[in-house]
Amino acid sequence: MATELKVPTLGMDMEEATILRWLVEEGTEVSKGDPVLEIETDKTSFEVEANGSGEIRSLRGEEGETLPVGTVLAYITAPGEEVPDRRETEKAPQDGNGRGSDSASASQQAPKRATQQVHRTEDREKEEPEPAANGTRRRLRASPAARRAAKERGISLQEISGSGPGGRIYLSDVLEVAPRSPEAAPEEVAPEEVAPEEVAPEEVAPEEALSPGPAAEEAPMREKLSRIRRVGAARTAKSFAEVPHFYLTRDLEVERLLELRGRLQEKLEHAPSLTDLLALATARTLKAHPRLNASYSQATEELELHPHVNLGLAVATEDGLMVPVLKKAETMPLGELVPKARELVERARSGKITFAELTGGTFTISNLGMMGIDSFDAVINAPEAAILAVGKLRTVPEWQQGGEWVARRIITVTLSVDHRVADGADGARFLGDLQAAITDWELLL
Amino acid sequence: MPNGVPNGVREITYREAVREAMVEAMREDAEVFLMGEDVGVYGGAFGVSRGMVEEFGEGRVVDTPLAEAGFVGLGIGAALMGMRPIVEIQFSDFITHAMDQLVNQAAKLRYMFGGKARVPLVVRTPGGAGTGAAAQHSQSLEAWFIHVPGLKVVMPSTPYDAKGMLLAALDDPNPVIFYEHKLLYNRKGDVPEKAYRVPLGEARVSREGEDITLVGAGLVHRFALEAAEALSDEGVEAEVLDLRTLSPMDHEAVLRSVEKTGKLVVVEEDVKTAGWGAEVVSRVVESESFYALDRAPARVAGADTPIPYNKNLEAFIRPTPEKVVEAAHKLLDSRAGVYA
Amino acid sequence: MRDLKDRKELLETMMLIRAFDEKVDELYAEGTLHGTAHFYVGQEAVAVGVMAALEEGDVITGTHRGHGHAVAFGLDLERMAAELLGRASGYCHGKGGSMHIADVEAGMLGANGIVGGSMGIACGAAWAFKQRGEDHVAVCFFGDGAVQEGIFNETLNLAAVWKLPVIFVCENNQYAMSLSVKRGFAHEPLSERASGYGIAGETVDGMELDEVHRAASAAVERARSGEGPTLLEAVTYRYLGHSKSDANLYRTREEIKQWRTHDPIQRFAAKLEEEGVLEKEAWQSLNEQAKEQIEEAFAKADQEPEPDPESALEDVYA
Repeated sequence: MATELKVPTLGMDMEEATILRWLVEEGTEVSKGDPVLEIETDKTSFEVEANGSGEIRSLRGEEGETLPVGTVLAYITAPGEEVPDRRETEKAPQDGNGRGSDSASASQQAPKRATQQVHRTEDREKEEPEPAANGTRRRLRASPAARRAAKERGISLQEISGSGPGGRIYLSDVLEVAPRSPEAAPEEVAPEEVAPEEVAPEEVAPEEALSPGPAAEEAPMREKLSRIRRVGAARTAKSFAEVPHFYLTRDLEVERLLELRGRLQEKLEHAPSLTDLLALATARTLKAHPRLNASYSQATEELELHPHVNLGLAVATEDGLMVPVLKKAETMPLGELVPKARELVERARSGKITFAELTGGTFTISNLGMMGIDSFDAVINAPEAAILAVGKLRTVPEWQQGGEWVARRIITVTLSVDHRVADGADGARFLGDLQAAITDWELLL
Repeated sequence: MPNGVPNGVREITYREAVREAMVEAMREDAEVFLMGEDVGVYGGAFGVSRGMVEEFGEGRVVDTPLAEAGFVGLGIGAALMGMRPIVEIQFSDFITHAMDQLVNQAAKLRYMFGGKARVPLVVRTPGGAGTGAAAQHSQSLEAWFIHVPGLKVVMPSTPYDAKGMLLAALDDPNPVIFYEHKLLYNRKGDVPEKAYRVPLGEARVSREGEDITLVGAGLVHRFALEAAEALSDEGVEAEVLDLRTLSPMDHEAVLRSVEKTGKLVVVEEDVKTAGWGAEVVSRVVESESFYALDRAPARVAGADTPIPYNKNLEAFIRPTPEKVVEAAHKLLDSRAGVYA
Repeated sequence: MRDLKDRKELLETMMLIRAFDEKVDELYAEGTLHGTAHFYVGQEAVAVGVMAALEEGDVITGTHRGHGHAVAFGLDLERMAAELLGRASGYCHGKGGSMHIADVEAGMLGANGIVGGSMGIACGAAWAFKQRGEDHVAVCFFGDGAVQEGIFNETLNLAAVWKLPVIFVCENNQYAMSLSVKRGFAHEPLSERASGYGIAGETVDGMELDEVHRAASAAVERARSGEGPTLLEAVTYRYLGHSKSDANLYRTREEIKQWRTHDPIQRFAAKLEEEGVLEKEAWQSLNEQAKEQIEEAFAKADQEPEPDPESALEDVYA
């Protein structure tokens, strides 16, 4: 039986991937585990490995082409074996097992969302253009106008997600990413608002100035966004526009937390930071608050309650915000969590993070305390249901009876919650339990 | 003839506009004559020349024997001698009888003779379906002739253009095939009483819009206009182009509009395969304006069948305003596939 | 238009036609000319005999076998040669070649590559004369093959109905390419078809110039006097193949030899000797002069430049 090599899903919100580079060609002999192609998603790029041994046959997909998850990219056949009819195999209803190369583990952990997934599959079948039966490769599709606009703006089409069938890119998709062409820009800047002396052309770094024409001195400086920033922009905008946020702010007393940290620093090779300890406490507390470790599905009006806490850690990098994920964080002992978290953060900053490590999050913590922020409201990392924004460690007076006060050390946290998933009381109870946990660690055991 | 009004512009039918052009030309120039089957006392199969024989006599409004090759050939010879014949082919389907005369003679004499001949012949002929006349009396064969260098092919859609373009065709030193549509003859429109010319080879923007370009000619140009009105109710502003002349075709006008809208639907009554719409689309696709296209261009054309008799069958295979709207919808819907 | 009032001129013109086509044949054989050509050799008495009946202002239409009509009409030999050589100075600036030589202004409305293709045109010219009240006539040359085409019926009927001043000259040279008149028609003579249209018809010996001239003159007279068209059949023979690629598989050498014994030029030369118009054996020097004239025309034409390739795009439209 020929093995189908499909566009894998590595995260539940991953719906499509772009082929970056093929590492094999039609007829290449591969062994299971050999790298076959590099693909890119809106989070990162990664290598897809052969999921069987044999000959690559009926290879499909152009470099630069964006394909939905589950699309058969090739068959891996034993010698003499026939290549199955692609249309038949692709039309067959797919269950959780059929979605990706990590299907085995996926099925064990399948969240309670079988109904929704069937819907999605059907939708995709309707929308996806019929692949050529002979396995002809398809190029990335973009309208000529879109291509011209992208070229004028110096944007690669591969960085644009098309709104047309099969991801076809239209002019509007390009304009969404970059509304104006550089030539058009000067017209829209009121000349009197920018004194020419202030932005002398010499001061503009060449790589930043996309339009060094005569009018450049009057134009705003333009910075081409990294892919991470562009995707971040789209995702945060979508989340902020579509997810009904509400915010619960609470001061967490952290005397016991600090005390614990002090003890552990003496005993452990990898001493935990306050963030590490908060992460551990949060992950374990979430076990008792499934609604905050869930996702809302608009299509089916259902909640997906995730079986594990995959804790996202917001990390500021040079390229923009990244959120590596601690998988099954609720099961991790501290000695495992601390080095793992360190490693993820480090790899995110150095750009060596893998796709898998950036996907599958169910709840995120964002800490700006080390940057002097008292408290802040974070945008939910959809489709997660909540995010915890952590401020700096502060010492505040706590007034006692009789006018006396004592110094208390606190951290102000703000929980942003998707109101479709949980209510204020749910969030308040979670924050209460989190306070209890960092006060009395035995509660987490 | 319709009576004049003070400002000189009356509402008359397309039929009357064509007749008025012929009458004015024949009054002005004794070298102009009309020749064809039943154009005399009968007034032409569609009544276009009614009343003309009374004014000009049988020598200038000439009933011919049934001999399309013969009298088209005669028209060519007379034109070669400097006359300005108008030859009517009763149904455009019968033009097949005269193919050698039009294709091998009229179109080529000037070129073959090294530019030292002129054939100022006008062949008027009613084309198109919608009359229940079935396969041999309903065709739209105009695309054949745009494939023949040396011929001009015009297809006015309004009474105004019918008069102005017929007079321009009579001025033209080249053979011009002048397509009328049976279903246009009774359509009315404002037409100046005086003689005027509408230049051949120039398209007309009959409706301005930003969202999508609809290109038509002849009767189906009106379908495009009707479709544009329907689309406007949905908030889509279509630009409509009346090509008016199919050869030489005003490609620049199409390109200008496509540059603006990025979306092109051609509406043509002839069969789709190798229809003139293919030429419209090809010129866009091979030009710089290709890069203005934001959707695959579409053609709303006749089906690749003969024209059937039954009313419903006929309607099924012809372009309609509804089919134009449908094509526009498919283009405008970002999730839509290519219109087939 | 060539002045053919002098009987010696008639002989010289036939000799020019033959010399022209024999030269063309020679140039094809040596590969100087390309494309194809159809030779008038053997039929000279028809073109010249008919032309002799015409006057200034009359027009003719020719056929694909058209060099003879053009020479008889009086077209410039050098410009004809230049056209065959494809030169810019040719009648059609190199765009027409052998089958499309024309001088519309002079009244030579063109050779025509389509069999029967010029029959309507000739009627149109005749129509113009009639409409304008001019007493000119149009002569339409065509072959026996054209009688088999539909337009023969259409145009003869139109011309008959409207009494157009046109003379339909059918050059029955016995073959429509390879199809003999015997195989292509069930009824001869072809001129009898005239009665079906109610017009005059006559068949003459097309190898006998005076016969052709006499019949043509009568036809022209009828046309000028408003009696309408004539179908004049001139029975003749083409000595050479249909075109350059003809291997003469459909006829015998004996047949060709037989017809050559009735050669129109030799017969007319002999007649002129008898009449005393020509001295004994003087025809040979006339023939040499004709050949020299043709040689000179081609030699001069050969000095003319090729047309600019860009000119291929010109004159599609007026």
